Amino acid sequence: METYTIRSSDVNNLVTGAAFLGTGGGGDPYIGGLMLKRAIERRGPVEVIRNAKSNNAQVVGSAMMGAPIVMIEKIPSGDEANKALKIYSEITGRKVEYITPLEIGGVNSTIPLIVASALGLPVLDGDGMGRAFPELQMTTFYFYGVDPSPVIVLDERGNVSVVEGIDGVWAEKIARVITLRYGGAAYISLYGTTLNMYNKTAVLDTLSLALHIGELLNQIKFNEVLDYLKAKILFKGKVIDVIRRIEKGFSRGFVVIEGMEEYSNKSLKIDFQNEFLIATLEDNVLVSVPDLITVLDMFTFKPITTDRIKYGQKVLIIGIPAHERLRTKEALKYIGPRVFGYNIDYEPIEKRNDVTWL
Amino acid sequence: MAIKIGVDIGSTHTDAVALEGRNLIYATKVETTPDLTEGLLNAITEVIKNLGERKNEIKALMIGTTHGLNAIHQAKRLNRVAVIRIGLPAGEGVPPLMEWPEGLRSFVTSVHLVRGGHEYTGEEILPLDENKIYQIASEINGKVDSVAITSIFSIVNPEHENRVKDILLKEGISVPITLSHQIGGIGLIERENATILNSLILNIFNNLIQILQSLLHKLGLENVELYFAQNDGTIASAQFIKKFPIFTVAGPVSNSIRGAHLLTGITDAIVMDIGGTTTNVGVLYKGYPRESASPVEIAGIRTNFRMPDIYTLALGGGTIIRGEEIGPESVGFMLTKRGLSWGGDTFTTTDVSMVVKGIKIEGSNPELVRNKYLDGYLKKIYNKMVESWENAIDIMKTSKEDVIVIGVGGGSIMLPEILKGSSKLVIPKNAQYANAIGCTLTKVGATIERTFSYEQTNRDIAIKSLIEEAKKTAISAGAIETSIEVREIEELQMPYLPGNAIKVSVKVVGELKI
Repeated sequence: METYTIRSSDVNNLVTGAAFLGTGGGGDPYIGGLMLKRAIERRGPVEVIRNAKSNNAQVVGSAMMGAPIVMIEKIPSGDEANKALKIYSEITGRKVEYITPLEIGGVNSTIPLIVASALGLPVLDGDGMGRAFPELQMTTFYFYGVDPSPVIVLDERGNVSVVEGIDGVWAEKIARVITLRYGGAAYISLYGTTLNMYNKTAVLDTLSLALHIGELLNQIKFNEVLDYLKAKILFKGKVIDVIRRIEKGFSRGFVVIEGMEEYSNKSLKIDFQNEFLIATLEDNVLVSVPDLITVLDMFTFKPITTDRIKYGQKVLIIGIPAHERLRTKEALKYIGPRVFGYNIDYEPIEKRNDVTWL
Repeated sequence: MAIKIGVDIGSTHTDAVALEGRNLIYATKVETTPDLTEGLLNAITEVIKNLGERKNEIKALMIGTTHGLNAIHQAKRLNRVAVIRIGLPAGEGVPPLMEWPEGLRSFVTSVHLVRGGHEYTGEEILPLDENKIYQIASEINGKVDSVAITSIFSIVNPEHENRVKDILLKEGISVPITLSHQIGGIGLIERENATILNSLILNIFNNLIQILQSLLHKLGLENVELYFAQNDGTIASAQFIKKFPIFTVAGPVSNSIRGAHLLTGITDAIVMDIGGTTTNVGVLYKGYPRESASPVEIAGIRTNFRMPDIYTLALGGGTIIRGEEIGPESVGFMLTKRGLSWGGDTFTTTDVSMVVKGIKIEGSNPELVRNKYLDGYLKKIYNKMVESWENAIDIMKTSKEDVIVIGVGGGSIMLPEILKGSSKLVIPKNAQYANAIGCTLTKVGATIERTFSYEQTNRDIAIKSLIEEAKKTAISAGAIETSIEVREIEELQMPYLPGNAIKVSVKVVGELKI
């Protein structure tokens, strides 16, 4: 077991790294960063635990749910997620010993740390996605047998709902309706489990990963990021078209990038639904979910989110192999390309592309 | 016919023009002074003196200035401000003024968080805590120069901001009060920041307006109306700007884009304004500057009110060349003293352009450059300059098709015949005065942004109410009511939210009442 501390001065690295792993989704890291800095100022730094030894200690997930656009206006009080966690503990009768993020990306890499800072509990170095996804059941916890329910859904006024779904998909559907009734943003506690199960199901070490990548990116050590993630530049070019539409409440669309330098005379298309999902080069799929597609500004290496991408941006497209736990048959039932409406099967990025990944 | 005077303060020069209708009857450039005001007064005085007896025909004076921006950057002579945010229990997670520079923060005397605010649907989060407002009123009375009020989702429902203002007025608070829904769009922190910045610079503009009015008085011009250029390429009366000075901070940049339109009649183009130290590249869209979709930082503070989308290159007429390096330093207004062609010791972009393009400028001698450098080297440098302009065009373009490029500003003579990415390059007559002309001839305008749920508010009613609100604002900024037209209605759907949640913005413009 290793322990380290996240301080105020680490926050910018954390949110930059999380935005990189967030594959274009997860909202603007700005508010998440400010909230975490504020929490650490008030209540002190956060302890993170790596390689925790499996036992029956209780772990619970903490996150924000809903529309990022509501959160940039109705900023939380900073105590909602703590209250949701306390209520989780009261209702289930379990004493929570560790907190875990559900996803890495945007705001949700910071919420569990804010809770940890307030309650004086440690955070586990891991999460249920290793990236960002739009729905509650899209976690490795769920794929490998952890039930998200009961899900505590709470708002800043103190309204509380407890969702007991018959499965993760139902828990998601019901919790989303409640979230909308709360004003479009809610704070949730869910996926209670043991450290034993956590170690078997989570994508581990992702907070350290976000911190490390963020630090390298902020120092513009871009090649080291690629090496570290076994990632590869898939394409380099200029955005020449962005098509967006709102579909069932989600922002869907695609981006077309015209190649530059060694990629000239080629064009790449990337489909997105909040996150980047599939990259296609002249009818050949180069990467698909759950592998990660990240779009970076060519000059600053800053990640570009799907809502901020626009004509004229010169970009690098990065493909990153997803964690093994996102690539199994069980996982692909919930996060494979077909779930998002694409008529293809998942192939690991390293098999689709003629590259050596080491 | 009425004469209008327009002045634009740039980083190196303050330009002033006198126009009769659309006829330029006098123009001048003076050096910009560190405090801005001195150069401004010099320019106005010079124009008026040169008009002689005709000065009595002057009806209006329009000014594009960065006084507000400078004051914020320098953090001096600002107001003492009380900040009120309505929304508790929400909002506490990021209190006001986080990550503000200490110098600016020290002018905020107190910060108050109050229960209230609204949802994206317009419903109350919780009722407003009025007792707390009475208490705040008695605490701050007599201790502040202005008050900045922000409420959660006030751009959907401004009720609580308005109510707080009413209570403060009733309790005898007589200082100016800025309400966030009148300043910015969605994004609480950014809108609140812009609202506080507005409050901080109110007195700067009050003073500036007084100084200008007393100058006009001294020159015997009692009936000249005073206007300021706004960020969106329109102007507003001094009375209006007294309340909303933050709307002027990007006035000079927008003036050049408006000026490019007014001088050419072209409505859609890329505008390159080349001054002494920089090239500002903006987009002319339907006759007005295209606005930035991303938050804009002022002195390191994130804000979200409407600002032109501008890309700035450190490349102007006075930019210094060392070996193969172009800039970023510039000799600025010292060009005609320090530039090689004027017998000075500094090698600048203007020196290069004169030789390569064969331009003649009075009082200069490009032979001095030719004697010192080889043709091949000069061409290489010039090509590098052209490349950075072309790159800037490419960055600002909104589609892959070639676009018309309009060059304005004193440095626009340096531009080549054609730039890659442009279908045609237009450099209009009087391009060097485009900014001052733009601010003299432009219209009075107002832009309002609100969010609605079209399930709760009928779309037609929503848009109509917004147009009414924008019209009212334009009239208070000096527009003739019957001349007001709607320039733009923009609707943007907000993802993840049901009820057909839409962000709508309306821009109206009208003729100036003079």
